[in-house]
Amino acid sequence: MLLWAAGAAVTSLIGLIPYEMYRALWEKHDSDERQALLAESSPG
Amino acid sequence: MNTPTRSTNRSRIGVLLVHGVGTPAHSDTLIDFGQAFVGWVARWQQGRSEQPAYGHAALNFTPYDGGSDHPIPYAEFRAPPGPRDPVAPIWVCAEAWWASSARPLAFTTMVAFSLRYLWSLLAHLILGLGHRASRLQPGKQSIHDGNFWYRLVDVLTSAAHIFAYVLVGVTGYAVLLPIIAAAQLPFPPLQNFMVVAFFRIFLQYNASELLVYCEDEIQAANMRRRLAEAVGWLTRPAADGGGDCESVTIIAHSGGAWVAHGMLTDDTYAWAHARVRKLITLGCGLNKIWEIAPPTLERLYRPIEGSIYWLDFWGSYDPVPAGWMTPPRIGRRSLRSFMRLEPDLRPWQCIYKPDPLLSRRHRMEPRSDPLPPLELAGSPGARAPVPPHARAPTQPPSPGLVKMYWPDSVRVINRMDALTDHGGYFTNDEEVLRRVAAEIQADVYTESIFWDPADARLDDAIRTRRSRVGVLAAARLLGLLGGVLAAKYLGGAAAAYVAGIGPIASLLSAAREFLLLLTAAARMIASVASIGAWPVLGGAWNGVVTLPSGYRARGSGWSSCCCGLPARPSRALSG
Repeated sequence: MLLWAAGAAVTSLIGLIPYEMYRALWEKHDSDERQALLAESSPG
Repeated sequence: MNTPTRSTNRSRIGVLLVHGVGTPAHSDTLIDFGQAFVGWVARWQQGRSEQPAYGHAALNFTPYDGGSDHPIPYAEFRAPPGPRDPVAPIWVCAEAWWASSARPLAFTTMVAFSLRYLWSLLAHLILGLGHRASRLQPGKQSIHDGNFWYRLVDVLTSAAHIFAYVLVGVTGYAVLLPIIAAAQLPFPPLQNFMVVAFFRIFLQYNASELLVYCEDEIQAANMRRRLAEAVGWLTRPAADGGGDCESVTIIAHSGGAWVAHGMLTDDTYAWAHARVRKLITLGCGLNKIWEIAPPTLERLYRPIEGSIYWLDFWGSYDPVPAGWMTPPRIGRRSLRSFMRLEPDLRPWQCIYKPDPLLSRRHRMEPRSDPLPPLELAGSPGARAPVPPHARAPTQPPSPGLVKMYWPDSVRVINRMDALTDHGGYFTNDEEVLRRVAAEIQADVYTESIFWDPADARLDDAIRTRRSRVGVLAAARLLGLLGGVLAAKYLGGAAAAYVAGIGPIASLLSAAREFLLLLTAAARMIASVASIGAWPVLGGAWNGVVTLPSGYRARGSGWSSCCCGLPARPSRALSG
């Protein structure tokens, strides 16, 4: 049972690793968008 | 504590940052919250090609509650001047640190509490799923919600959270129960490993502050004192060694909200109430404490009164507030209302009584239900002319219920993720940081230089951000689905492969040998026990057989033949 759980945990990384890679890219994009908004909406 | 002297300096704005439950070190809150709020203003200035200017700063890394207000960590920041400011104001940000003001409760008490907590989370998620599903219908979404696909991802993410909570709950307690059993053995190394290594840090030190605040009056009073002293220091004149601010805005996260609420409703600190102009709560922990506290604990249900404006942000997936601020109702619920056969007409606890001038200035209006009004898409005026109270209500007013004031409630979307949403307020520029900066800077946020009511880009930015977060949540759902499918179809093969890897195969072999050894040891113990049992059984049988004759021979008392003790002499013979 424990061995199966370990195997399942390892194989579930097939789905989670691409997500984590995408999330890292998303964070960078989010930071850029927020900074762009600050630059756009600052009066003066 | 004597009433501290009060500064009249309006060019300095006091900002008191209050952390939530957990074990942050001294000055951590000032650094982390300060980087979020002041950092947002600094980035705003950089967008205008201005350089942010910081003034004095004094951090404090004392690891214990020293029992006095000195030295309170603080940092000064020269904010850009508003249209009505003759000079650039200085924000004096200070920290109220109460993490080491609590003694942890028993581990088993906390385990029982965690069960109730999990149950309430599930109930709120199921309720929230209904709300989200209703927004799928055209015309039912808020002005900040994205398109249909965004709302569908929201519903699916909510359903996935319910599934995950059940799974984690069942698995977690299955692991927890043997740990609790093992921790009962009087062997300190085992207890320390079992309890400390797994759950003690989280349950006893992070979550127990909530129970401590409910159940321990002395420690609760000490927590409130920490806040009051920080307000006193911020508003004390510079000549007396204080922060020299006329008034203070309190920003409290999570469990800091109940400490702030406690201080602001405690008559001991009436002098401090008059110096606080705003209370801003993020991921407010009051809902949690109201759920577990007995209804007789009156101090938790007192209203914040006077000229303090209360603004509450709650993340849509934040498990701590788990929704808008909802105090308990007064009285027991009838069976008919529980069965939804009649409306629940029990009155709500009143938690907020702003004075008329304040409520007019902030355009607050009383409601008969704490459910915040939903600003429907397509409702007249997305921003400038429409204050929160004028937005379309989500439900008809309940007749027969007294209308009362509630904190201004702002629902925000952080990351659509229960694991990170409680801390997600500090990176949410569009919905949280800009509004908080505007609240600090101006009396009414729409009059701040950070908030141009005519700028439609602010609303667009919130919608854009939510759509962005929706894409992240969709990717998360796909990743989870991929992970579950991979585990289901490849888990067995991976297990067989993992079992063949050298070190793991050795470990498995060692575990197998250990199990065999345990089995053999158990058998040996059983054999020895059975050998030892024969004399005992023989002796018992001998006793059974000889007892009646021995008893008869002596005439009185027990015979020595069955217990090996000398026969007790009769009282008559011993004289």
